[in-house]
Amino acid sequence: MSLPAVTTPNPNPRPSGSADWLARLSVGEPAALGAAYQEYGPALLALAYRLTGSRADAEDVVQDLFVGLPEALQAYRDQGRFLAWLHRVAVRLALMRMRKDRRRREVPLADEPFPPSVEATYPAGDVWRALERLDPEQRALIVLRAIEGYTHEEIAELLGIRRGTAQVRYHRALARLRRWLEDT
Amino acid sequence: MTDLELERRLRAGILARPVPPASEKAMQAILARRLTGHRLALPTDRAPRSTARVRWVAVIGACAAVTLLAVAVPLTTNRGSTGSAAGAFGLRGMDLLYAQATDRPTFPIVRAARPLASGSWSYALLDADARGRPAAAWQQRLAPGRYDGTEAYVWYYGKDGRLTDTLWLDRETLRPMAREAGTAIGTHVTQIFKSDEVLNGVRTAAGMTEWHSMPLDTLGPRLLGGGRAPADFYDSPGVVELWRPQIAATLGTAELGPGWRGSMEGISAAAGMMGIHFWLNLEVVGEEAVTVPAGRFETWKVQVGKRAGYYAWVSKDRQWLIQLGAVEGGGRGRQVLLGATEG
Repeated sequence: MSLPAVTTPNPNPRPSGSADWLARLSVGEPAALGAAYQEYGPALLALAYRLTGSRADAEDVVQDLFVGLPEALQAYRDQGRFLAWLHRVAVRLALMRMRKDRRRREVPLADEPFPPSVEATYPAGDVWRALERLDPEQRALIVLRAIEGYTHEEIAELLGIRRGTAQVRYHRALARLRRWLEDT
Repeated sequence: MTDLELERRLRAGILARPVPPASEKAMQAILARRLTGHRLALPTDRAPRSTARVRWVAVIGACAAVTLLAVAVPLTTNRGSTGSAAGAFGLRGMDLLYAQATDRPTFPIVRAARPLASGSWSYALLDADARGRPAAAWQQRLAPGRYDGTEAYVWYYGKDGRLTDTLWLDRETLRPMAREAGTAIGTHVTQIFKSDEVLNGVRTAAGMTEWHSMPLDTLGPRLLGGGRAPADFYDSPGVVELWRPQIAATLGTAELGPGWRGSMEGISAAAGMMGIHFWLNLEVVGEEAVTVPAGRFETWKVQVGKRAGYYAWVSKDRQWLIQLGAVEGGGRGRQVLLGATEG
């Protein structure tokens, strides 16, 4: 083998989901990791925040995800569905964190005032407080189905339960939320 | 109110709350954690279903796997060897060293004093829980060759009996010259270790190889935002990684004996942020009889790194790497020889 004829520095690879970019990400190249964070970080943080209800937990989830991402890519097989794969890993990480220490969950309601709700919706603060009363799995069911638009099949796969079970639990969670929100 | 209307109201309520921004500071924290050796195993697999049916499938599958392993392991890890072992597989081509490296050579720089004989070796990495179970296994094979006109030791290595990676070591300095490896996502990585830079080449889908350069003087520990890392950076365990065959080759070519010591150059540039240029102290500190799956060997005990606690055991007769790892701490990351063949 001979030395390459041309050296093409590429300090800022653009996330495109392409194989060569993923290869750079899989070896932990800082520029590739930084670009991935810029592109996917905000959406993942939002997802983790809605799942955990805590800014600190959400930031930890996203940090852990990106710290472990290069090695995790060794197991990545869903060609062309990188963002969906990232979302699934983020959901699993958030669930692990929520299950690990439920008591530590927090919603800094006093620090972050909710914006006024529009007509025909529940007050945002009430919704978040009601979500906080759900157990981690029920909360995940609501967020994944109602906000993220996952199908019951996809939720079942993420939570390791049957599709029918996911559907039943979702409707139970919905019923509990309805009851609490109507009481308030 | 229908479920759909309830969902709509919930959605509006949840989305009404602003989400925290993804900050640059968080990205710096991510890079800092990786730079200091943090690695996390993410939950990438789908969660197992806990139904009775799935439990039965798991039991049947486990029985089948045990049967297959009983047949396959001797074929893959023990070809022509004298030992016996079993194990799960799942290693990449690098060793994460728990030895403490230095940023400059402390002892005379190691040069090959004798040639290496070709052969094949199988190793297992023992589990960190000190139960002595192989957590992973790999094979490496050595053949003479050339790289870019210079004589080289060519090492082929990989797991599961598949030698997927190739490492060229300079026959005199034992410094890495180049490396080629496939990746799990089907691409191909080439690295060329020059005197002043490491060239990383990634083969694109179009069949082209795109190169980028990492100057060697940037491979040392650096702080995010600029400046050098503190001198004790290398003291952290697990900071430095080493191409797996390099330490076996270095100790295999040395004139080991009482009082022998040398410094070995290491370059780990597999990951940009873990791309580190370092030196490892090697020093014969004793002689020991060691028993591993490949058999019992009279060995030189070589301290690896600047502090006691992490060692390599090298057989006195053929100078094979018999065992590598920490004595204390439950044998963390200890690798042992499963079997070997010459020629």
